[in-house]
Amino acid sequence: MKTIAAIASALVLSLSLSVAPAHAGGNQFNLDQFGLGNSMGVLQKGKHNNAAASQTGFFNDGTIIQKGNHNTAALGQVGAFNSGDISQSGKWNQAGIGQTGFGNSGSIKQKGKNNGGVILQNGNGNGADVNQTGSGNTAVVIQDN
Amino acid sequence: MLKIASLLALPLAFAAAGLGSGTASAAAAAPKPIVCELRVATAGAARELTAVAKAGAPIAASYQMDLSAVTAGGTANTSQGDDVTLAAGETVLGTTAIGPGGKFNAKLTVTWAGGATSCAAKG
Repeated sequence: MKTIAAIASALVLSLSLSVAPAHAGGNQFNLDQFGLGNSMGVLQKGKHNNAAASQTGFFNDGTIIQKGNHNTAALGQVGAFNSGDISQSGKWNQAGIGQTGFGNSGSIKQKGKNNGGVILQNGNGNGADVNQTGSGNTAVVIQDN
Repeated sequence: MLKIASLLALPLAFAAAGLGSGTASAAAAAPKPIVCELRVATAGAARELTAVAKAGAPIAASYQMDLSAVTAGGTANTSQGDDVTLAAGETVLGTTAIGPGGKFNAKLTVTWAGGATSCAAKG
């Protein structure tokens, strides 16, 4: 449980860092990759979208796609062979995804506005998908094994 | 005589090359309404790329910023873009921060009605 709290803290920190600077309509993306063989792909179309990613370990695979305005995404992944995908279209959507360990898979897909989804996974081999369409939806998935 | 013939031929040569034509030189020197720039700054071991557009007057445009990075930790490909209305002066279009080490290639293209300009950065 302590680990999940740490992931959650990192996720919140990552989100807060990604929205801190003020820019004139621009999108922002922050990337940190350590370890070996990690892969990250990001596509952002629109205004004021913020994406943050950090992959520490081996062969983690992350994708962030954001279309619209004022969307925020963060992605963690610490161990190895984790896979995380975030896809958002609309505006004011927020996504998470944590993941430590090995072979975890998390996906957040959101369409609309003001949706929030957080996935925190600890341990190995967890899988979680969040799909939300509309406005004002909230989802939280926490798995610890 | 040969020298006089050469002097007479000189304006003709310039005209043939377009160098004596006021219209041709003006067209060649016409400034683009937008100038782009990719600024690279370091923050600790990380590097931050800022996509900037400078316009002399308000103008509608769109931009596309593509970056590929290969570091010890892996590979990353990012693409950011949007339609924007640039105000006169400097506008920050977007930023991308990448972790320490490795190499990156970035390209920014700004397009407007009737033209486009590109700039690149690598490190």
